[in-house]
Amino acid sequence: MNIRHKIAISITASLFFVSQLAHAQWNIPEDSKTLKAPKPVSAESVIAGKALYNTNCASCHGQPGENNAIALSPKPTDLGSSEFQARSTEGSVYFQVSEGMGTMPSFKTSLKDDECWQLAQYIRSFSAEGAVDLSSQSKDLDLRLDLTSKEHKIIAVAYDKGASVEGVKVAFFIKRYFGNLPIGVSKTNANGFAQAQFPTDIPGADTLGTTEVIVKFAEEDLYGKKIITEKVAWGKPFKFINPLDDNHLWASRANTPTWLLLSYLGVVGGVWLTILWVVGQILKIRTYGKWH
Amino acid sequence: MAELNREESKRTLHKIVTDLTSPIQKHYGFKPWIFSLLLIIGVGLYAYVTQLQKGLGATNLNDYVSWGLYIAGFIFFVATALIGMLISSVLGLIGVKWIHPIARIAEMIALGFALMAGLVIVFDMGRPDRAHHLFLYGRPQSPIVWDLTVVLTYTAISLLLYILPLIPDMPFLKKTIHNRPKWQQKVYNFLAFNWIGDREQYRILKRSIRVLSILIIPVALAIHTVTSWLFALTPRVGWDSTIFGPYYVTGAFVNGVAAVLIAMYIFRQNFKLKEYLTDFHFERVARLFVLMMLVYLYFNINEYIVPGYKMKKGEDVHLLTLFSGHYSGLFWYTQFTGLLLPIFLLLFKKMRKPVPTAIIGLFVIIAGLLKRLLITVPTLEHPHLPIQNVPESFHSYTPNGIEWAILGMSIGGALLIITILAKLFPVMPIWEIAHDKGVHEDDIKNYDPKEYESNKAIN
Repeated sequence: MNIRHKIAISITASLFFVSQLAHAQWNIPEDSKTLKAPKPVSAESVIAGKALYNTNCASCHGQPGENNAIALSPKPTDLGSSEFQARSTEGSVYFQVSEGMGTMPSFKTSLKDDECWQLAQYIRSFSAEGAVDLSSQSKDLDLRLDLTSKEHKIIAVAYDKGASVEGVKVAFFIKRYFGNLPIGVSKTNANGFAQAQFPTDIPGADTLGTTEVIVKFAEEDLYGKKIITEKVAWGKPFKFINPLDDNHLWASRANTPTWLLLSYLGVVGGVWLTILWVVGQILKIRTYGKWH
Repeated sequence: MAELNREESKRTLHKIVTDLTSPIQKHYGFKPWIFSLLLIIGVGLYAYVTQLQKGLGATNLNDYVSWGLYIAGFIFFVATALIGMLISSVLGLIGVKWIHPIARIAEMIALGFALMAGLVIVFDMGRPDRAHHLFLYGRPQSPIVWDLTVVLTYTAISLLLYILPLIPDMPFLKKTIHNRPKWQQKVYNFLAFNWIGDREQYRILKRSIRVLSILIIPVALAIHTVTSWLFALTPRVGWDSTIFGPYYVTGAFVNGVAAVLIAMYIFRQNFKLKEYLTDFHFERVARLFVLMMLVYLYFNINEYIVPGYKMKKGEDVHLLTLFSGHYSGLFWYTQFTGLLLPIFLLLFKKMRKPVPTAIIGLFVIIAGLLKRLLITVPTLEHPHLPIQNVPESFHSYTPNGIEWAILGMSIGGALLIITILAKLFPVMPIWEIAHDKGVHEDDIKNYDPKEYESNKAIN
């Protein structure tokens, strides 16, 4: 038995073991089911829970209610489904988040206790009793950008009908080829300013270093989907070098390596000059015979 | 050779001239021979027209095995053509005298096969009407462009090396050949280049031949090395080898000497040249043959035992197909009849006689063609990525009738060129043989067949 067989067998065995564990039923203590969060559910806690959900849970469970969990065995539960909500309480979800079972990890070491509660409240917001009306709390704010070209600082100003708003989380991104690169989230201060430093090592799209800055509210559910983009020449100048433009063996005919072209022409030219010389010698024989 | 007295000198010269020019005047079996060659070429032409109409789909070539019999044939032709360089240049420059009656035969083979090698590439083209694109758009980085260049160059030098030693023979032909058509006389006249046999003309002639003999050595090495690079410059299993250049060159010498032995035998019998192509010449060429085969065997051992000992993943499939798999029959046939058995047999003096050497040569040259098929095809059947989702017929390759007919036409074409040359010009340099036999310079210069005939009448 070689090493590959051994590895294959161990993986199969552990998968079998894990799937047995995962198939086991949740064993949620009765007192946990009735447990309530220290803070009652609010728009803020649900929005915070949503952000936590997207970071920690969505990669396996997908978006609640959309039945788009990844293909694991057993399949991760759709946490927005009515079946799940029917057998859950805020306390039971809190227990499941913090303890975990089988392939579902425990989050009590990686998340704070109140974060686990926020998650539970967010997940329960898909049920009738846990639902929260976000519209009462939300209001559309305006956002504007100030750029300091010297220090490469991006300053966002959140305001409502001309008056600046404090304590609003603003998220900063740089547009990249396959998505937006987050460079920071900061809360607006008393003047309504939130700021982020543009990194020094971002390659730009062209020789000027052009990049696109994207700023939006981190809590879009509360403050509206406002997106401001602006082009800045703060990236590292980038020059695209096409490998076919240089002289290479694989390049086009116009880009033959000089050494190769010279060798080729030199050898072929030399040989053919000699051939021509011999033809000349034949003519010499002919001329000689003509005059003697 | 000791100087002959004037009478002997004249008599010897006349005999040489008569022996070497009479096949041009009368030639037994010439018509049936030409007829069969034309028949083979005709069949091949029909096959080629079919291929032109239907495209390369008419052959058994496919997406994976896109190089088959044609390219194997191309290497075979280039290989055979290389003999001109070995015999007339290498041995000639060393000063080996016994090559004098053989050198022109070797040069004729070189010329015929080099010309056809160029054509065989065209036969392998799906769009031969775009052949000139190679000149218009070819990249100097591409070995195919190098190959085209050296094939053309080698053909040009071979042609000159054939024509140059022919010049001093032309006066003899002008004087003795009368019953042939007028154009033939005109050709003799043209190729004589006003040759009068003066010391100065000999000086220019010999210098030119010497320069070309030196020049053709690197060019000939280049032609076959570049041909091997068409394969070895790719990372394909079985081709990815650093010794492919010398491996091909030595294989070419084996092939070429075999061709020369066969041609020598045919000319000796059919042209009645037993006095000129003696057992001694066959014995010498046979020794050269063994030497070349030993060197080629050495390269074969390196080429197969080195990777065979390691059996690297990916290469193992290819090597096992040759050693014990699908191609093992052909592989061991070529190794035995193309190398091991001939080397063993030619160790015996009795085997180095005209008939046995010609028969051995025939076996070696057939094995030579098959060997090149074995170099080309099995590698293509073993790509780095598995063959999948293709018709069953793409998994392997066997040449079909059209391919064999077109290859037959190419071989027929080469033989036709050699035949026409042999029918137009003496197959040995009259002047050089006369010099070797001690004929006086003045007699060569002032040769007159009538004088000898009148002397004979007086006697």
